[in-house]
Amino acid sequence: MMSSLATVLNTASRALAAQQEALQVTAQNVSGANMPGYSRQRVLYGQSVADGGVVVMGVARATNPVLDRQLLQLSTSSSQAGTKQQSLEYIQTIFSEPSAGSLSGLLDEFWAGWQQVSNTPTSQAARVGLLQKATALTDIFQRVARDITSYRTSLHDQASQAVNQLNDLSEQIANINVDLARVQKETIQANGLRDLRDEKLRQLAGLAAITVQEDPLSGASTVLVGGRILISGEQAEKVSMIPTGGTFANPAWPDGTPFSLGAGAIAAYVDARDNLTVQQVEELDQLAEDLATALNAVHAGGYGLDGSTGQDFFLGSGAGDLRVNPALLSNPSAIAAAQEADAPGDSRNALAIYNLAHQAVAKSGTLTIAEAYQTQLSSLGTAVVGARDTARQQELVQEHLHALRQDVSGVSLDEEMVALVRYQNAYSVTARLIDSVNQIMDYLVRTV
Amino acid sequence: MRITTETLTTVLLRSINDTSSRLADVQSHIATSKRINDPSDDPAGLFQSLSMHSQVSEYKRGVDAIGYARGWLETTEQGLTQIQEQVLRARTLALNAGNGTLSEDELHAISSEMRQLLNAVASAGNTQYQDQYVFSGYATKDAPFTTTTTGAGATTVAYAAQPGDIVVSLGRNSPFVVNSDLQSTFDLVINALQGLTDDLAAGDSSSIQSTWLGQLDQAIGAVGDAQADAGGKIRNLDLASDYLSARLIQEQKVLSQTEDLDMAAASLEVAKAQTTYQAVLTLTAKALQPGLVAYLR
Repeated sequence: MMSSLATVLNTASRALAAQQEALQVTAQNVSGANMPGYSRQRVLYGQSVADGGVVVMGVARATNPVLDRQLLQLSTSSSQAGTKQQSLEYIQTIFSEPSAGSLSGLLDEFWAGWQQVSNTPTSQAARVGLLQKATALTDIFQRVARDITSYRTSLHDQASQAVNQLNDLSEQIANINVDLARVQKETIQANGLRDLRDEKLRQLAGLAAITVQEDPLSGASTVLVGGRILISGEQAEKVSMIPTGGTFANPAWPDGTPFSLGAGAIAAYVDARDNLTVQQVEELDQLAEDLATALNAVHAGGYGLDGSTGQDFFLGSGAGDLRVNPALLSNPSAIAAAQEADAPGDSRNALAIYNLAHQAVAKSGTLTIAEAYQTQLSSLGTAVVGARDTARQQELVQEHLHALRQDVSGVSLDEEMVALVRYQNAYSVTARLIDSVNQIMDYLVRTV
Repeated sequence: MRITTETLTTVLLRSINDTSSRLADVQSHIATSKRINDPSDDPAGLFQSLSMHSQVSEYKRGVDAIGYARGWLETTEQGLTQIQEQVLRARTLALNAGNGTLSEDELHAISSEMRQLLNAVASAGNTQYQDQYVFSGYATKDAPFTTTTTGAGATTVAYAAQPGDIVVSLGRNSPFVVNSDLQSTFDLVINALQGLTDDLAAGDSSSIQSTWLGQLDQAIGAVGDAQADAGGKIRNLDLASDYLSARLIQEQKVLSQTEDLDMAAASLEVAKAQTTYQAVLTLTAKALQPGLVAYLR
């Protein structure tokens, strides 16, 4: 009799402990409801072999490892797409087309200046006006080229910062690996550490494509990038920026092997720095060169009002240093509008130069200067649209996966409220049970 | 599917962001009243729009160029008219002198007048348009008619122009030549008047009937041709001007269709976006009310 009652008390006390543990977990869930990356936790109950009472086996996280792996991949691709979109949009704003004072407008004005000189070749005003328009044109060529080049430096800095962030995250994850080894499995503390590590892994995946393996015994994560180990247990490799021989540096492992730049934000910064920007500058350089070459060829064959001949109109070898010949700037009469010497009314050379506007002198003789530039802009615009669409699509998929993850691991405050009520009731009933047993024992003791 | 607090707030935040960014986008287009603010708004449309801008400014410059060419030709016409007046007057004088009834003194007087007519021709021929001699060919800075004083108060007039076409560009592949080679025309005029002046100064009226009247008639014909030529060119310019003006209006219309924002449609978009935005905000406010806990008392 007594042993049965004692057993009941035992069971009841276990039940109380279990309800208390459950209440603690509920409190934990409620506190983590708004934490990013928090996984809801639940108590794992088992039966005691000794007396069949409830025993708390541990506190488990509700997660879906397959979903987590997908989210890692998506973090990488989404971050890469977002970075590419930002870079292209910024390059687009550098051109600031269409607007007054943009390259296309100034190019038009430049040709108009030549038409004016061809109509009134002896007018100093027309010549000075042409030189002003030519200078405005060369200024904007220089400005756009310069701005894109300095954006390359900015992209490089962002890549470096991302690499620093990668190193920080690696170190933090390695530290969590150490802490996890010390903490007992399937406890609230262990779950918290795992949640933190998962969040950091997702941030890390945004920077570079990673694969993660977990050691079942120690619980430590091994993180690989491009097949090579970045983090193993408490060891985290440091990635640094090593000069590539040009102006910039690329991320590399400690032994100098290049860091795999397959995907992720770091790869996107480097790609923008080395490809997206360079392509635009190269096309602009080609445009400036085509313009200068074609125009100089005609100009050098003509005569100025002062008899000078054989002079280039444009100097420089690309968009960055395109400029008007200073000899002309200081002496507008030297502009070769005529095709024979000592013929102030002769404007055939100026006319020939004006007609260059409609001749296919760009893109290996297939497009006019204006068409070549417009094509460059159109391509850029299309690239921006493409990048935006990709980034948006990635965002939507990420959101969908996130919603699925919430389905598994998210905290619903209403649910926790219901659980709270349940545990509270169970606790009160258990307490009542203990009270009843106590009274019975009391009675028995008094009777015997 | 479990809907957690976070799922709900994520969806609501996404809705707010989407509708407010749609609103911002439409408003930025209304602010510029252009459909295309960036190449990415319409890459192909931008290409067309830039080409059309080029074309429109070219047409406008063409209209200005026509005005300039017209001015040149009008100056030419006036100069030729004045020269023709002198030549016609010279013919009248020559006719009178050639009838053989005038005295030597009267012939001398006519010779003086003839010389004045020649000087007037030189003066008219040195007419300028915007500081350029219109009858000089390429030597627009040098007066084409030169008067040299030879001893004893006599003068000779010569005409020399630097051959070459003065071209005014009216637009793409539209060069317009405003001058013409008048060397032979003016030589005729000068030779006739100079010859008459010299002969009459010497009291010789014998060659008038046989030579000089014929030459004067040739000169009159030549100057008349030059006048007709100038007049014809002016008419061509007027036709070109009409054509350009029509093209300009057409091009501007098409440009506007491509580039300008349909303000009515955009205003509707704004109204729609604002309504959606407000609806989303109201929904968010209701959805974020406290949950079950408010009801368990």
